[in-house]
Order: sequence, then structure tokens, then C-alpha cells
Amino acid sequence: MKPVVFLVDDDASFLTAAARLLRASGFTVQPFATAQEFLAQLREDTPGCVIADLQMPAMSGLDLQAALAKTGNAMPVIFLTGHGDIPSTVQAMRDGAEDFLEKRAPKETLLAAVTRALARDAMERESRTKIKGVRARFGKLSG
Amino acid sequence: MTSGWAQQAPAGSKQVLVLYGERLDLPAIRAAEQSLRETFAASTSPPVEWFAEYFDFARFPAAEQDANLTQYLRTRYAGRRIDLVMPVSSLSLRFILKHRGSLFPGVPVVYAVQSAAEVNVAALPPEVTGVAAELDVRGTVELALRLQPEAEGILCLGGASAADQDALAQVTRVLDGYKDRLPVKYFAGKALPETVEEVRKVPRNTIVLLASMIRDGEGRALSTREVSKQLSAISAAPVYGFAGTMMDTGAVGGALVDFSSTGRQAAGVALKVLNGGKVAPGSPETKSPTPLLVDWRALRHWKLPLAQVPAEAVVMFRKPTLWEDHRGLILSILVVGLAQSVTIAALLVHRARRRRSEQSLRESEKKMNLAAQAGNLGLWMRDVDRGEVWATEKCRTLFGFHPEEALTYDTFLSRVHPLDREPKFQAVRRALAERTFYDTEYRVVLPDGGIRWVGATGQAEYDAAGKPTRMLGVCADITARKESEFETHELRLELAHASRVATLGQLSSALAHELNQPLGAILRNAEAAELFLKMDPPDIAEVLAILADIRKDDQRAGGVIDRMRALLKRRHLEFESLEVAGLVGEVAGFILTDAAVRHVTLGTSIPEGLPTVRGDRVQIQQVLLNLMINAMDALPEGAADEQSVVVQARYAGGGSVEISVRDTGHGIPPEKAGKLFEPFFTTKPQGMGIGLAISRTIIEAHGGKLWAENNTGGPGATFHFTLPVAEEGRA
Repeated sequence: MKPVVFLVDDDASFLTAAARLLRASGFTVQPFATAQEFLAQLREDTPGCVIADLQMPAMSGLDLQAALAKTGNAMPVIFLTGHGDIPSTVQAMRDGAEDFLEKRAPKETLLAAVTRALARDAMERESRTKIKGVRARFGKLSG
Repeated sequence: MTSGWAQQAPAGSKQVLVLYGERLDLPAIRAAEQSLRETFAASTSPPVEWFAEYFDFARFPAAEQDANLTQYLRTRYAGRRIDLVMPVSSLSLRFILKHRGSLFPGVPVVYAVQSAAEVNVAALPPEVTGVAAELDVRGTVELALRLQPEAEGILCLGGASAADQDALAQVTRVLDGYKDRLPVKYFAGKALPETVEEVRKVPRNTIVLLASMIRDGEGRALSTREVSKQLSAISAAPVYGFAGTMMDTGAVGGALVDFSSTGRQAAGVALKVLNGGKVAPGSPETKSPTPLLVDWRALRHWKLPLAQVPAEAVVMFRKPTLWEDHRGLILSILVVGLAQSVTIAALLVHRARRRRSEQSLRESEKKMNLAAQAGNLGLWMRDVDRGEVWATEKCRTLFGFHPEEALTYDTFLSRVHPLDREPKFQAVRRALAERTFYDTEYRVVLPDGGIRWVGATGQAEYDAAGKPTRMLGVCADITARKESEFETHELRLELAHASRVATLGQLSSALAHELNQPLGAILRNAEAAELFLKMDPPDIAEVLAILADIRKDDQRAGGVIDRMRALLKRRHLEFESLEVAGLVGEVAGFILTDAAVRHVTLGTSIPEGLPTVRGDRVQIQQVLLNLMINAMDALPEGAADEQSVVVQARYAGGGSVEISVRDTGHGIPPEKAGKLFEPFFTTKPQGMGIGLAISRTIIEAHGGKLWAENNTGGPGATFHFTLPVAEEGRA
């Protein structure tokens, strides 16, 4: 299955622009205006990563990260922010944020972060599958 | 080796042998021993080496031990040079008078005995002298009669030892003189339990006299102190005595022999004799006084009249009286910041008068009222048992009561604001438990619904059983102070909040977010367009859509900037002529508490005659506040030395005044110096990084400059800014 870059931002024009750039760069992109919409459609087996705006009404980027961690598909999250606000950054990093980018970070920085996040997701997915397999086999043995 | 010791003693030192008639654990002997030891140890001319023997004649009567003791002393001190012998107690004086010829021939003797009557001064050999207390049996009896004029009998108690019998004999001689007035019963030489039983059932109007009791009829080793304690605890009538050790045992007191001072005096005479001096027995310096001592608690316990205690008597263990207490209370009220000295003086005068005479109570009350009024204080007193409360007029006014209204504790409580009742209760309870005074502040809800702040302090009086009987206290109106406190607090909050959090914080994050959205979209679109154009064939339709979006986002960003400008324009600057000292003083006032909590000293140095400056008061104060808070934040936490922030001002020439905020903190790191005034640059964990940027903008809008530099020749940094001198200030 081809990995998907889930883009979540309440600002419609930024959402469109960033989706355009990522698509033109060869990624599969799914844009969402709210975190709720994104979480509602997320399937457990879809590989990928999330790029989310830190400051969103209703459900912030941090809330999204926390909710995502509770699903069966805890993919890496890249945060976007207008300006580095320190307490949120610290919190996001502590919770395992993949990256933390300013909205106006250079294209190269953004694309590199996405590539890195997808690689990490693939790796973690593989190890999760392996553990599952081991568990399954172990279950059979002891059963 | 023993024989060589005398030669080894320090040159010029004297050897003294002290012979105590009783064992060391008797309080009287211990008191004398301590005085002797202290006096001898302190003596350098001559230095004294001393030896001590404790004969315990109470249990080993001298008559039986005579031969053994002389043998023992002769053997023990054979190789010693004894320069002086000190018998302590009349029994040991008698012993040494009898044997000194064979034991210590020619050696001077200085005695310490508790009763001069036991020493026949006229018959003493020339080298014998000493100190004796004037056992004052009459003094004790007269005291008892004054305190108990209704007494119908005297019960005199004594022990079984030789010393006890000596003492009793002296008491008896005096009591014989009272036989016509009062029947005297003797109960002496009996077992202690019997004595206790006798005292237990004695009528209340009896005077119980304890002569001395260091051994009872069954051979128990006792001390007069211990016996006095036991008897006083169960006695049905007040107990008096003669031994100083009876103080603080529950006994009322008497003309008491102070064994400590007898011992000290005797040691002094001994030193004089050792130095070759002569002290005639019976001369004033050999007489030890027997002061009249009375235990105030025992007086209270037996309800004996304090007024009947003779003027020369010393009343001990006296608890502060009502008015002595009041002085403390009034002093604590001072904190409330009321006129005071008048009150204290008046109360002190009142107290003195009250001591002299108790008769004019009404007069006193009037005076007390006057005193309280002068201090603007309300006084109240509450009878715990009856629940009644007496209050001065002022006190009634404070709580909104009518002058004639009957008052109880509950009516008072009903006026206390419901939210403040529990804290007040707790303060009173704590004061009762710890026997201290309480100090509370609470709101009083007046009958017309008005609120008044009252500061109150009070204390309880207790009976002998420790039960509070009365509570009394002082209260005052502190509404004005409370209001100004709140005002200051609120102003401080407002300003601090406005400048530190609301304005700056909101401004910065709103600006960042709102501008970054369109700018970010423009950037991403531009980058995407580049990629679409590079495609083969280029996706022109997509690029056209992108260009339309970019135009839209540009307008959006412009809109943000317009709104920002409108926000900043909302309040136009109001220039006025400002006095720098006042400006700085007000800001310092706002952060004073903050500074105190952080152990920072705030200083200002503003020369008199400094020209006024032209500026917007609020904005300049914001700059000052920002710089001063920054300065405090820059100080190392928990530093051992006191840290300081100093605001200075001077005329800088060229029509401008320079104001500087100097701290003693860590200074500005060189690599950060250039960025200091850039927006969003911060070194603080919670900082937004725009305080200095905005401050510089404000100062520049005023036509001044704002800059920073590290202090030369000391830690920390200084921020300077200039402001133009106001036109009228220049003239």
C-alpha cells in the first residue's frame, strides 16, 4: 500500500497550497480542514504520516497527536506553527513529535521531514508486524 | 604519691575541706554546694582546691558516727595541708567544733548554717567564723496571720532527724509566744504517711507550718522540698515554711532561707579568711537574709488576698495581670497603625493606680474608656461561664450595637461576616489551646448591610485548673487600610497583567499566526508552481490557479497588517510634562512586593531639580516596568548576597534626560547583545521576546533612544533610555 501524507490545517488556502506542493513532489496527499475529520476516516492499516497545524480551533495539533496515539495507527506527526511557541513545542516533542516546522520553512526542509517521517513509519510498521507475528506464533505454542 | 600531692598543688593555692552535714541530693545542700563551687572555681586570689564530704547525719546520726568519722577524716587527710575547713549545716559545725583540735589543729573554720540561733557566737574560738541565715520564724507566722486573719489554729510539722529537731525547737520557741492567740498543735517525728493524713483532714482555717523534714519517724530519707510538695498537694489548708527550697512546691511561702546565698556568702568569707583577713562572727557580712517570698499561684489557689501581702515581700510566679496583658495587646494593635502612645500611657497609669487601690472601679472604667477612645480602640471582656460580654461604647459602635443593648458572645458573632466566622473561631481556639493571644481581621456586617473591616486581638484568663474564665481584647476599625490594600493590589494586578501577559502576549502570537498563515500559503504555492512549470508538459492550468491564490493570500496578509495598525492606533499618545521621580516611584511601588519576595532591593537615585520630561505617562511607565521586571528576572536566584535593581536618572545634555535601570545579574552574553531588541528574541522560558522590541518602539516614538550595556567594574547590565525635556521644564 502506498503511504499517504495526511495534511490537517484549518486554513483553507494554506491547505490547498501545501497539498499542491506535496503532490507535485510525488506524494499521495489527503487534506483535512479539521483533526476530527482526519481521525474519523483513518484506517488502521494505512501507512503514512501526518502534517498538522499546531494552532487549530476545536482540536489543536497536540490534541490530534494524543488522539492518534490511542488509535491502532500511531503514525509520526509533523507540526506546523506560525512561530515557535516554546511550551507547546516542548510538549509536542515530549509526546514524540516527528518534527516541528515553521509554516514558512523552506520547501527542502518540509520535504525532507516528510520523507523521514514516512521512513520511520515504515520501519515501525514492520517491527509491529514482526512482534505481532511472534506473538501469534507464541500464542500457538503455548496454546 | 598521696603525700606528695600537697607540694604539687599550684603555688599559692589554698586547700579547703567542705563538710556537708547532709547528703548532696537534698535540694538545700545542692543549692549551697553550687554556690560554693562557683565562688571557689572563680577565685584566682587565692586559687582554691577543695574537697567535700557529705555526712548524711539525718540517717547516720552524728552521735553514733563520731568516732568513725574522726578516724576516717584523720586517715584520709593525713598527707594534706588543709588551709580551711567549712562545715555546712549546724550539725557539722558542732562536729568540727568538737574535733578540730585533734583533726585540724589551728586551721581556721568558716561555717554556713541556716539559723543564727544555732550558733552561740560568743562561745566561738577565735579562728572560727561563718555565715548564718537569720531563721525568721516570726516573719513566716506573721505572713500567715495576715493572709489568714480568720485562722483558728496552727499545725506545726517536723521530721525526725537531728537537724529537723533543731529546726523544730527554734520554731517552737517562737510559736510559744502565739499560744494566747491561737492553739498550736505539733505533729513531728511521725511517719510521712501519717503526717500526710493529718494535713489532709485539717480544717481550712488552719495555718500549716512545715519546719523541716529530711527524715521521717520511720527512717525515710526525705527532703523538706519533697515533703512540702506532697503536703501542699493534699493539704486542706495553706502550707507555710522556712526553707527556700519550699518555693515552687505549692506552699504559700514564708520568710525563707536562701541556701544559695548563704553558701555564696560563706564562700566569700572563706576567701577573705584565706587571704589573711578577719571576719567577726555576727558581723553584718556573716548574716544571710531570709527574704519574705510568696507564691502567687498558691495565693490564687487558696483565694488569699494579694493586698495583704506585705510590701517587702517578693511575689513569685506571678502571671501578668489583666492590664499587663493589655499592654501586649495594645502593642499588637499598633500593627494596625492606630494612634497608640496615648493609650499605652493611659493604660499604664491606670494599671499603676489599680495596683495601689482597687476601690474606685467605676472611676477606672471611665478612665479606661477614655484611654481606649483616645486610641480609637474598642475594648471588650467576656465572662466565659455566664456568656455575658461587656464592651466599651467604641466597641459597640464598631459592631453596630446600641449603647444599652445586652451583649453575648453570640450576638457578637452574628455580626461577623459568615465567610469570616470560621477563621475567627479557629484563631480564638488556637489562642486558647496555646494560651497566647489571637490576632484576626474580619468583616463585620452592620445592621444597615454595610461592611466594616475590624482588626481584633484578645486573650483569655484562666483559673487555677487551667479553665478559661474570661476573655478580653481590643478591636479597631481597619476598613480604610483594607480598602487601600485592595486598591493597590488591584492596580498592581491590572498593570502587571496588562503589560506582561495580555497586551504583549496576545499581540505577538496573534501577529505571528495571522501573518504566517497567508505568507506560508504564498510560499508553498510558489514552490508548487515552480514544480508544475518544470513538468513536461508544464501544468499551466494549475499554475494559473496558484497565481490567483497567491494574489488572494497577499490581500489577506495586507488585511492583517491594516487591522494591526488600527489596533495600535486605538489609543493615541497623550504627551504631557512628567516628573521622573514620581514616574519611577509609582512603578517601583507596583513591583515592591514582587521584589521583596525575591529578596531584591529596589533603589532609586534621582537628583533633585531634574527637568521634567515630555511623554505619555502610561507608555513610559510600561517601558520602566518592563525594564525593571527584566532586571529582576536577570538576577541569579537564591544568591547569598542581597541583589539589587537601581533606577537612576540624570540630565544628559542636549535637551534630554537619561533614565537607567541597573541590575546586578548575569549581564548580557556578547553573542546575544545584537539580537536583544529584535522581536521574538527571548532568553526567558516564558518570555515572548517582544518586551524590549516594543519598549524601543515606544521610546523612539517619543524621540528618545533605548540601549543596553554590561556594567563596567561589576556584574550585571544597565538599560538606558532618553526622553526629551519638556518645554516648560527647560526654562
